[in-house]
Amino acid sequence: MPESVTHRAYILHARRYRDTSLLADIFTLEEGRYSVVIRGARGGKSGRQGLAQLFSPLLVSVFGRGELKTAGAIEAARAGYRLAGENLLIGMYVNELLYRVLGKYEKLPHLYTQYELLLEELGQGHFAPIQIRRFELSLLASLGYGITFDVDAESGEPIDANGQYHFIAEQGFQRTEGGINESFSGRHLISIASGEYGVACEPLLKHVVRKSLRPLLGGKPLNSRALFEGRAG
Amino acid sequence: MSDSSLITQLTDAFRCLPGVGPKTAQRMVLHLLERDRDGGRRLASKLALAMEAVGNCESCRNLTEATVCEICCDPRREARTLCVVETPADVLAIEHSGSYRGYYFVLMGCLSPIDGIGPAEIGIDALLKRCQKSIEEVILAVGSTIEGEATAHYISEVVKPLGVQVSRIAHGIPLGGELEFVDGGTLSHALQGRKIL
Ligand SMILES: [Zn+2]
Repeated sequence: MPESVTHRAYILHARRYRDTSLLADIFTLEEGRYSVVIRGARGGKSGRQGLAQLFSPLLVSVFGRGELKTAGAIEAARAGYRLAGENLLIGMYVNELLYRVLGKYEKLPHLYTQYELLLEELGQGHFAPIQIRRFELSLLASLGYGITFDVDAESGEPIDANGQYHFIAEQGFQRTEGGINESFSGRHLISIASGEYGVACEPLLKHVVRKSLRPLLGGKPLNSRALFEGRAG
Repeated sequence: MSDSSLITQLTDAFRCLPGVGPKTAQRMVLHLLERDRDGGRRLASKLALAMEAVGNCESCRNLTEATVCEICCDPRREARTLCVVETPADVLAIEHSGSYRGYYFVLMGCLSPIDGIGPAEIGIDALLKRCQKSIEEVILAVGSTIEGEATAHYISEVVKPLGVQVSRIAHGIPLGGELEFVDGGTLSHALQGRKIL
């Protein structure tokens, strides 16, 4: 038996591979995201098929040195989060986001913890736009695109509660004299910087996150957006 | 046999079938060449015909060479119910059970954003159009995978505003099944879907 290591992991995406296996993209605490063949994950005999589900915390024993590793065994670390209804679609959005922007073997243990916290929220049935924005912000920060909310990127001055600001991706907030669409009040920026995400900050956060993610997505929009378009909510 | 011989090419071609590895493919090829040339010719001509002629039913998206499939054309079926399934094989399975007399709609997959399968790919527009014709209940008979659950939720959200009732088939203990051999997920589904007696 080749030597194996055990990683804590979530499946971001899996597709059928050969007759009874899955080719899965997993996000692990120890090694970040990578691809692995999970043998016997489909087809009755092994009893592993129920385990290899999205949003389930797994223990995966992997071996192999090359680009594509093999999972010798998978185990449930504990019961999976039971996302239902709209939160299931949100979970799929988050998985697609990670799948698109995470490089392979980039160790991001903090982001892993944030992902787990988000799944817990979603699994408890909370509809939590703010939690999703918080996760997206920590994703951006983990990848080196963190957003500074309390300093004017142009002047270096602290944000003025009475000022109006607009946002430029990969740069930050700059003071504007108005007349520009999508300008935001300094008061909201300061409250976000201090960790207070009120409902009033939602449009701002959504705008800022979308604009910042755009360059990382390479001009190709996320497919899961289609799940939320043209519907109420 | 050289690498580019017809025999090798044919063997490779057979490997597009699910469950057919190099050994099985070779056995199939040798069988046809040695013992059943007529069968081989028939297979080749039917394959060529079917690959060209079979498309999707305009009404339910199931596979058919007609514009509208046989089931959709059958006026004796229960016109008020529409059963939504993932694949043509699911239609066959439900038909064989003999327990359903309504019409079908075949999604040809289920929602999977990473694979590029969104509402358009599973034919949501066609489904909504279909629902406007005499349908009073949509029965969701999609799988109990995460993707199946998400698909069921999405469809119920877009269909309900049309005033159509949406139901989901029950998931639970297989007939003749013993509780202790049923996995936790299935058991919890079965408990949630319990019926008052
Ligand atoms: Zn049809």
